[in-house]
Amino acid sequence: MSRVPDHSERLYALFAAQIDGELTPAQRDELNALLLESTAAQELYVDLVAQHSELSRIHRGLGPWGDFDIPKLDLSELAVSHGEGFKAAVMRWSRHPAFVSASAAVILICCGLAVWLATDNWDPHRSDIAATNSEIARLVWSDEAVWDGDAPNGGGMSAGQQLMLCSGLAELKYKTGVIVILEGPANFTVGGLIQVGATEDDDSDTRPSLLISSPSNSGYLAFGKLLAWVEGPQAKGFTIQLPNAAVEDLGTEFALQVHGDGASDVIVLTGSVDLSCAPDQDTPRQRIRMTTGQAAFVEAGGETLTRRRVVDYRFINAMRRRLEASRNDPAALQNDATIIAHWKLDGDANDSTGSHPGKLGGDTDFVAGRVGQAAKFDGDGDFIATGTDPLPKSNFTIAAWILPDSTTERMYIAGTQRSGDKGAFLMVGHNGFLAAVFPGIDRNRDAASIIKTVAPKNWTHVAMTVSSTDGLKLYANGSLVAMDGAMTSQQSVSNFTIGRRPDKPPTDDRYQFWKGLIDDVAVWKGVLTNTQLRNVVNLGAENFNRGVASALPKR
Amino acid sequence: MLDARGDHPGDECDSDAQTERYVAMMNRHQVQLVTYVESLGLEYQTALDLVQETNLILWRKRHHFRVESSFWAWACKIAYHQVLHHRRSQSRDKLVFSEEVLKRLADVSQTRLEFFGDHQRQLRLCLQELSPRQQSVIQWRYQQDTAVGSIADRLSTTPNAVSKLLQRARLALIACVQRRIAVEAGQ
Repeated sequence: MSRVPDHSERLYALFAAQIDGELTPAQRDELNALLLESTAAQELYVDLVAQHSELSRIHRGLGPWGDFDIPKLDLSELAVSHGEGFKAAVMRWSRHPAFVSASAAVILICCGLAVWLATDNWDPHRSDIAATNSEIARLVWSDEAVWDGDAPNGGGMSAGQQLMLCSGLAELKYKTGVIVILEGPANFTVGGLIQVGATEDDDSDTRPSLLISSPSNSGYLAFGKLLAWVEGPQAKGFTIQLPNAAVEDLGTEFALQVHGDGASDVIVLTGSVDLSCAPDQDTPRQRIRMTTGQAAFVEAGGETLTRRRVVDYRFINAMRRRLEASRNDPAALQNDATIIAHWKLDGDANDSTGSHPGKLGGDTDFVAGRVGQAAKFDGDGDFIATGTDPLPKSNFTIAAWILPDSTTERMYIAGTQRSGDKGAFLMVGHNGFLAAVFPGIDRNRDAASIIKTVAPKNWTHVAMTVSSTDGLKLYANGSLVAMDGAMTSQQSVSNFTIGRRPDKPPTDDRYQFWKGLIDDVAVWKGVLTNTQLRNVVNLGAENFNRGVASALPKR
Repeated sequence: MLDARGDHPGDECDSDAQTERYVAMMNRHQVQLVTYVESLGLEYQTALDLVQETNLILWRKRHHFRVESSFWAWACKIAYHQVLHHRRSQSRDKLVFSEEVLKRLADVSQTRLEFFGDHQRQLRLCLQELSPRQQSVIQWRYQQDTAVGSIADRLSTTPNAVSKLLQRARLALIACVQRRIAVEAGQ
């Protein structure tokens, strides 16, 4: 064991200056010189740091609840008010060197660890979740979301549904109006915990956790980061239960972070919340009210709460940007895309949703495709017609896998058309440009990629999204290749066709028959996000809402 | 071709026993890693960020870890590179240590903190061996984040005297921890 070195007093003085943030450049040089002198000095320094670190941990949770004084945060950099001020603040942070570090931290620890940590915190309560079948919230948006297990199927969620978000952002909207943004890794359950065996006769003050009076307006964050925005009469009282406490909202915006050890940060951005906890059955539940700009730290056991010496609320930024976008663009909240037609083309032309069955024309065949089987068109009279129109006027997505035998002539992929009038369709043009076309009375409107976007004898995933606010976007293999902000809607015509032009052209050679393979054609009501589109490319159309991003093996 | 669930082999979170052990080791070393990074001249919040990035790399490289080797040494190596990477984004005046000192501290810290759990346990016992006055100063300093000047007011003494008191308390704790660990090790 090393002895404390002779120059320990000077080393200690420099260390003290450093931890107090008062180290001058001259002292810094002196500290470096001292540490270069001997291993003993290095060992003393490491011991001092370790001791300081551990003393901070030991004492971080010793403050009693009763006389707890929550400090006010300076939220000026975060801009509590919404609008340009906030955006400017975000930009300032984004230029701040610390933001780089925080952005990296957004990725946080890996999925496996996060899930493990979450499960560790989670298991004791699982049986307490009140499961229901009725939808209480929807997944309305996600970005770079990677899920462990299934993402909400179709976006809808009932009480008791657990979300394991490995990474990325996800936004939930409750029917009560509450918006919750999650940042992965996170383990969140829609609907709160119900106290097992709790009755109205129970003395609520002796319960270890809150009895959730309204599972439809609550959630349980076992691990990770969350931002909640609560506004409106139905939303009031929204409660988030944590492993060690509960936060009941009183009309506000607040952020939470549950750490790996179960400790929690609670930060109130606007309004007020009631924060309550009880470490065990024998301890009365304690409750404090927090208001705008206040932050609190609850120890892992929930027995103590203390203010943080350094409140780092940078983790909120990414989630707040999303919340701001949602509040400024109500259309974004409508992004609850649902698949409304899906021709898998696995040996037949049936629509797996059952609404738009296709009929084979010519001698259309089925062969091994990109996802299961694909339809094989010989370019000489083969096609699939539905006689219906699954395309909404606006806010929709259509996608397909295509493999043309050649790109020497114009070929029709899928869509609707009445010449000089109505419809919307996808096509491949000479030299492999991809185009989306909306026929119109005055003129056709189209958006087209550069040539060679589609290569002959290669699979390409093609998609177009049509938004009432953003117009048309055209994608190849999940990447944006063309757009037209004016193409915000199309005129319906009931002749959705795959593999050739739907309406009768002036001459048969202008049917633009497809020659090659087409697979997995699908239509969604709603504009798919980039993440959802990537899911379609990587996982197939029916898995558009699943979050496990993976690459298909090359064929 | 996709399988029936649309999965691609290897994308699911691993769940076998080896992965669980690896994750357990990661979790067991979290506090140690934060302290290790702090000992390299980084503030607590920055250390937390860097350990999170370290965790990400530890997870990505989990298949490269050899079970017969030291997880702590493996984790320190990755954390050290994160610190170096972080330093490159900092202006020179923000850096506490030169690269030479940093390297030496990294080596010492890795060795010193390997059995950090023992240090933590003994520190708690040693706190009780401090004089009441020293205990009060430590408590004010850490529990209530009270400035030295304010502690001096409470004790009706000078800030310099409080600094000295803190110094003696901290060095006494270090000596106590070293003594207890040595006794426990039978030295």
